[in-house]
Amino acid sequence: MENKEPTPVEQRYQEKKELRQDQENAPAPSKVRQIDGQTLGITWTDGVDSTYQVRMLRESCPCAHCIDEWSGEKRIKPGDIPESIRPLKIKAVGLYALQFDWNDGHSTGIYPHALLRKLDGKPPLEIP
Amino acid sequence: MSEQDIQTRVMQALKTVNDPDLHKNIVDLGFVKNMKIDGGNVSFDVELTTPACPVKEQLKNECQEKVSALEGVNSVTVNMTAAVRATEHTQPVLTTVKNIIAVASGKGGVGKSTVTTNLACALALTGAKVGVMDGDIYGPSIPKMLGIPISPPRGGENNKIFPHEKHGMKVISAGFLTEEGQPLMLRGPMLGGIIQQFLQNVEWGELDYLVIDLPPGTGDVQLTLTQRAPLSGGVIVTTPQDISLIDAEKGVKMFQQVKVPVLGVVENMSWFQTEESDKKYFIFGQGGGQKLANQFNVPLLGQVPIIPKIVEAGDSGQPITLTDPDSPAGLAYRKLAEQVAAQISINQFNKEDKIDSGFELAWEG
Repeated sequence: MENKEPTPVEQRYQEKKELRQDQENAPAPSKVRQIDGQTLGITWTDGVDSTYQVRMLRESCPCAHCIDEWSGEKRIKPGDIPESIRPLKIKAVGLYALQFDWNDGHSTGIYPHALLRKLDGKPPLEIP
Repeated sequence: MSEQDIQTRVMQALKTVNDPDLHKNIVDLGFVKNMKIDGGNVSFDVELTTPACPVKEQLKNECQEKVSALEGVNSVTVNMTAAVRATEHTQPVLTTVKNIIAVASGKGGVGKSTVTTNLACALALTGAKVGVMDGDIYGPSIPKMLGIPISPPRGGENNKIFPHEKHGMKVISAGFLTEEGQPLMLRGPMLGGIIQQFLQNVEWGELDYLVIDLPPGTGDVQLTLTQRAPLSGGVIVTTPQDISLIDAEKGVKMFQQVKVPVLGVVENMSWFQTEESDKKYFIFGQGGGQKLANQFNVPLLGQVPIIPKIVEAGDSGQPITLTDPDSPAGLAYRKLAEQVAAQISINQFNKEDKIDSGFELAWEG
């Protein structure tokens, strides 16, 4: 059988499935802190320390405005997120996620703990 | 023997009395209080974490026996009390409510509201302070089941709402917001608004347990509640049949996705039974609740039979747990309440990682 590349829809489906499985056993943040102007730090209940470039986090927003729910296509294009992007406020959503209020007015992204774990180690975005 | 010596011996003896749910002795758990020794007469309180403790009598008897057997002790008075512990959280809502229990099912028609009503009544029967929030905005049945006439709740300053009171419980429902028999026609975002009001504006006062009747499914109301209310745990109601289990599974998974602890499964309509006989008819099959519980490694909290009186009781606003607590269904509900309360206590003791659900960080610079 021909080995076809997964379509964006299939890829999105697979990603969602993995995230769902991870979420059930995901560790939770025990400490969330600002490291410097552009870096967020999370210490997890399993002892892991993660650092995140905030611009990468904004670019990885999982909400329906930023990722097309049907096609799985990313609506944020390279260079869309300015270098000046900063969170204004970060808050817990229930027991399972974090929500960011960004200085570009965006705030609909809810980042489940498993997603944040997955984004750990993702390289910072290139400066446009 | 001095009274001091007797007290030391009594404490030693009580250190051998273990709480079977919390796996620790009652002295180390801090349950033993107000010890009084008067000659050979010993009296003390055992303060449990819930008045619905399923092993209350067992613990009392064990204390009684072990202390009576001690040299120098003539009489023993064990006074069983309870102080319900609060599920810790930092969210700025429902701060006077110690524990919040959400009753869910994937599917409609499994008797979720009947279970909610009777679970609440059974908790209240033990002496706990109980509230009921009817989260089923489109199909509120709690007012009818508790026999509360439809009337708007009393309002106060700052948009405060005072819940109705019935059978010693505080009750809020969207059913009170419309005229009787009129549908509440709302789009999704309004649902979240109503739930938000229930969470923020209702004057619940001090409550040990708030039981929330969720609408069927996994939609707006469930999401708003899991995001905004500091839930202590969720209870899943199912019937024994496979078709109900498929949806109940989704209910469990919903709680898992949002990391609300699943307290366990309640199997409703487990069997049919008449008043004249003990014979059980398993009209919806057998073992479904247990299967679901095993699948997710959570306890089967209870099995409730379907008996004609449950229906009568629900329709007349006199829940069976109150009118006929010793009927097969009444007994099942009282046992269910004990199991639910015990699971909450167990979770509180086992919880190592505290997740700060009220966390907020303002970014600087």
